[in-house]
Amino acid sequence: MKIAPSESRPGRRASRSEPVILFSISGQTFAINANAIQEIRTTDSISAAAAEVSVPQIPKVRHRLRRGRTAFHVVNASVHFGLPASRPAQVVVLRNYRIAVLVDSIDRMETMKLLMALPPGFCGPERAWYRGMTLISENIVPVVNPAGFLTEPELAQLDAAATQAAETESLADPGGAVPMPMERRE
Amino acid sequence: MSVAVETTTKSFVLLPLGRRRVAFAAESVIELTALDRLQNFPHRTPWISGVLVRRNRVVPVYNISELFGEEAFFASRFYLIAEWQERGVRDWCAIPVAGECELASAELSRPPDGQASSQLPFVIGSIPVNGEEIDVVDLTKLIQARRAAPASLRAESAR
Repeated sequence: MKIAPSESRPGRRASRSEPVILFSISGQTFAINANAIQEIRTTDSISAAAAEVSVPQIPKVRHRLRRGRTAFHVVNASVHFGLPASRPAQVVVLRNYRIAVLVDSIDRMETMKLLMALPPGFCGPERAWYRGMTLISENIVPVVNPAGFLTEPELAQLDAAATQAAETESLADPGGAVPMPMERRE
Repeated sequence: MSVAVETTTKSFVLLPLGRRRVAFAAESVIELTALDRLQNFPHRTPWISGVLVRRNRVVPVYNISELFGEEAFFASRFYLIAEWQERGVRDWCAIPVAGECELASAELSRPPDGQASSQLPFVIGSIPVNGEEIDVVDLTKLIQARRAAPASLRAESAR
């Protein structure tokens, strides 16, 4: 048996500190770069700005949220990560991605000092979900990749569905969209 | 006059795996460690059951039944931490072990060219230990084989 040589982990760690927000979904804690977040709101406070969408191939997205001139696709994070159904209470609106994420709660802000790469043994969609992992209070916390919530083809599909829905709405009700509750339906 | 004879005797770590034993080259084994706190997070790699933190690195724990298609009959007592590499990148993994591990020196018998030992691409040969022929597993080939297997086959082998 031997000690692994130091070159066995080249370039696999980033040690620059970075502010992260810790949030929970179905009892699982995740981290996200604080600068990737545009705003965090309760689901109740923004339900009036949400409209229902239905793209059967993308069940994790059931709402579209308008903030100013931008429409955000709302991803239910428990569905995205394959976690048990939960009751999301917060919406994390991402900066630069036209994506908002439903999460159960926001835990706190932390300074991430070490970002460890996902070991190469992982070979599922988690490689796109996470930028890596960090250690917080001796717990391993996955650091989510904001771009990993929706792929480009999924965004294109959702955009097409949104356009179609807007055209239908304008024909049926020139007054505007009907507000929809954002709680996950059981 | 003495003649130098090149031997191919190497060291192997033998570990119990379900009803049988397999061997890994000792040079790929980092350490044998007591059970540690298994942590988990969402992912879809079926043969990884969680991760450990060892020596400041994240070590995935490989699920025996998924990886080898063997049932784990006994509760694990240790983790065997082993190293594998792909495209020059080395990584560690932890394999839950129930029972005693042994260190043995033996000569590896490789199958003739073109033939796979045990019909499993990751078994690179066998070693004789106390009259028993024990398959020698190449961890890198094992992981690559599982990764390449279609999801349906992986699910079938896990059952």
